[in-house]
This record gives sequence, C-alpha cells and structure tokens, in this order.
Amino acid sequence: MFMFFYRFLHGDRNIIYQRLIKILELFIITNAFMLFFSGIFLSMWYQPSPERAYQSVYFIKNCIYFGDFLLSLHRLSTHIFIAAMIIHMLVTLPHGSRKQWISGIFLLYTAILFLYTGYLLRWDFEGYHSVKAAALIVGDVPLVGETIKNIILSGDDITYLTLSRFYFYHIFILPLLFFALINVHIKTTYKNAAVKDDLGIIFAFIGFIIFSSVLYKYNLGDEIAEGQGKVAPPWMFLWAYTIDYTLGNISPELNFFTGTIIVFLAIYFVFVPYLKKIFGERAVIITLYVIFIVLSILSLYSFLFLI
Amino acid sequence: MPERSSKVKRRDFLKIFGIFLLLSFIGSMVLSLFRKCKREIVERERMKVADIDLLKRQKFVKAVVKGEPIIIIYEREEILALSLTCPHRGCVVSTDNVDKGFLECPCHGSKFDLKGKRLEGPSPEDLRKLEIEIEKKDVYVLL
Repeated sequence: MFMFFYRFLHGDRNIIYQRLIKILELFIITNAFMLFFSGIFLSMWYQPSPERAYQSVYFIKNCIYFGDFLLSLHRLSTHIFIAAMIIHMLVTLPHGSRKQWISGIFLLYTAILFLYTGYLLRWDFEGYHSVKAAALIVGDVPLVGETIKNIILSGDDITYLTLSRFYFYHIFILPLLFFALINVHIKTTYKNAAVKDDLGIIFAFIGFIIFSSVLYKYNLGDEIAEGQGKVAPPWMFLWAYTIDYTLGNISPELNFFTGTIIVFLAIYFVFVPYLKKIFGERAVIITLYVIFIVLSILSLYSFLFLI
Repeated sequence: MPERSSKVKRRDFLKIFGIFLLLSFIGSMVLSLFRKCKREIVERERMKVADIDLLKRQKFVKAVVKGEPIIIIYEREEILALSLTCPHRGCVVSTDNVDKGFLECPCHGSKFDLKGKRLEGPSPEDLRKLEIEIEKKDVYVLL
C-alpha cells in the first residue's frame, strides 16, 4: 500500500510533484549562491583571531551599512538551506543514481560543516560552547573519538589555532568541496538546463530570502567570558541533545553513546544505495523514513521539555 | 637494442621512484596533521582573583582565568577555587544555587557540591580544582 502511494507520487505522470521537486532544487541552488555572496562581503570585515573576532562581528552588525542585513541573511539562509536539503533528500529518495545520492549526502555533510565552522567564527558564548559540546560528544566515541576530536579542534581544546583553521575551512576548503560535489550531483539532472529558463523563480526566491532576512534579527550572544546559561544545539541536532541528556542522566557510563550514534548514522546514510541492492529498495526507504520520524520525535521532545 | 632496453629500465625505475616520492609527499602532509608533543610548559604565573575580606563577606567570588570561568568559595574557614567548566560537555556551570549548597550545569543537569564533588548527572568527574596562594589579604590563583 505504501509503495503504491509512493510510486504514484513519484511516477512520471505526476507532473505537479515533479515540478515541485524541481522548484525546491532551484531554491537550494539560489540559497547556496546567496550564502556564498553574503559570505564574501562579510569576509571583508571579519577578523579571524580570538582577540578581535567578536568585536569584528559587532562592528559588522552596527558600523557598516547593511552589515546587520548581511549577517541576518547569512544566518537565516544557512538554516533554510539545510532544512531544504533534508526535505529534498526525503522526496528524491527513489530517484537518482548512486552517484547522485552519495554526492548529495556529502553535500548535506558539507552544509552542516559550514554551519559548524561558521558557529565558532563569531567567538561568542553560544557559538564557542556549541562547538565545544559537539566536539566533546564526538571525542567520547570509543577508539577513534579522541583522534577525530584532536584533528577537528587542532588540539585538546578550542584555541586561536582552532579559530583560524575553522575560518580557512569555512571560506576555502568547504566551498571548494561544495562546488566539486555540486558539479557531480546536478550533472545528470541539469545537463541541458539554462539559468534563463528559470530566472523568474530564481528572482522570486532571491526576493523571498531578502525579505525574510530583513524581518529576521541577528542576535550576537554575550562575549565568552561573560555568558552564562544553557547552550542548546541548532534544530537539526536537537535529537542528539535529547539522547545525550537522557542517557547521561541515567549514567555517565553512557556518555559515549551519542557520538557513536552520530558517527554510525553518518556512515549509514552514505551506504544507502549499496544497502538498497542487498535489502531491496522498499526496506531501505521505509527504514530511512522511520529514522527521520524517530529523530523528529526526539527533536520535538527536546524542543518542548529541554530548552 | 641494448640502449633501448636500458632506457626502458630507466623509465620504469623513474616512474616507480616518482610514485614513491609522490606518496611520501602526500603521506608527510597527512602526518603533519598530528601533533608530536604536548603544549610547552608555561611559566608559573599567578593572578589575583579576590580580596579575602570581600570573599568572606560574599561567600564566593567568580573570576575568569585564561578564558576559563572559575569560582572561589569560602566555606567553613576554607578557601577553594573550582573550575566552572562542566566535565561532561564543557558548558559553564551555574552558580545560582551556591547558597543552597550546590552548583548545577544548565546544559544537562549535572550537580556538584561546594567542594566540586560530583553529586548526580551525566558528568563523569568532579569539577577541577585550581591551586591558590594566599598572601596577606589577597587570594591568587596559580595559572
């Protein structure tokens, strides 16, 4: 029954659905370019050292024309971007080649790394502790955790070295990776596409993103030395917060589990096309949707009770 | 004929050697991601964090030492300096409940008593203690 409904939605005759998927894809691409360009202009003023980072973000927010707008756009776009990518992943599950799926998953990971590295750059209380907590979660993974954490943070703790390395990842390595992956990812679908065919929709999206950014207020947290209180992860990792909180309060022995689950899921998603071959398309797709629903429920729990 | 075969042998050798050089170059780059030794030992310095009279009046004083928030508690004639970094996920432990006798981490609910000992929650360890020195009326924390 499920597969019948599913095939109806994804069948060639269902043009509306196909068009919606294409519109979402265009939205993602437009969003990526807006992030890229707002990032360029932010990098004109940002200072990647611990002594100046916070002040430079404050400066951009208050002392540059449209600085506040650029920051709002950059931050809001990131979250919309990742949300759109996740929806895109869920609706294009049965389509696409193995290459598209794997490049798509790594594109999602790249976007999350963009968010992670970007979080630290403002060097405020929330960013600093979010990055730290995530690194410690990964550090608790048995065997490989400590090594991965030391590579990510360039050391045991967050220092000037971490900040400068994250900045370099954020403005150079990750964009390179992103463009290389996008090239592979959209080559088959957009082989003969021209931008001018979809200019109307693209401009509409640009307008929508600009409008939302004007409404959205960019909040710069307290300086690291002065901040206090709870620091919760961004929405796409609230489920991990639920797991960490609940298991940690049952026993500190279980602290390793959150990081292990994250690493496991990260690897699992990459191998989905191969699992399709072994277990059949239906089982794998249903499993993916179930995982998504479980993570959403955990996130909702976090949102309602823990924040 | 003999010339050609020696040229071919030279080419093969150079190819293998070239690949070996390339691999060792890439290998050295990858290995450079790893640290060889721990951070250097910094000179022992100290930083004044509180005045004894103020500390006795207020019962506790908060300070920031090398970027890390700490609390200096005066309890039953004893002065103790504790790090406010939670050993679980690095959040800043809250001091809102010091007068109730405990410190609580707002992120995941770990609780510690005023000696830094872990009471409950996900934290695997007690709060880190810092060394202090008292000279006349000043309290110093050793960095």
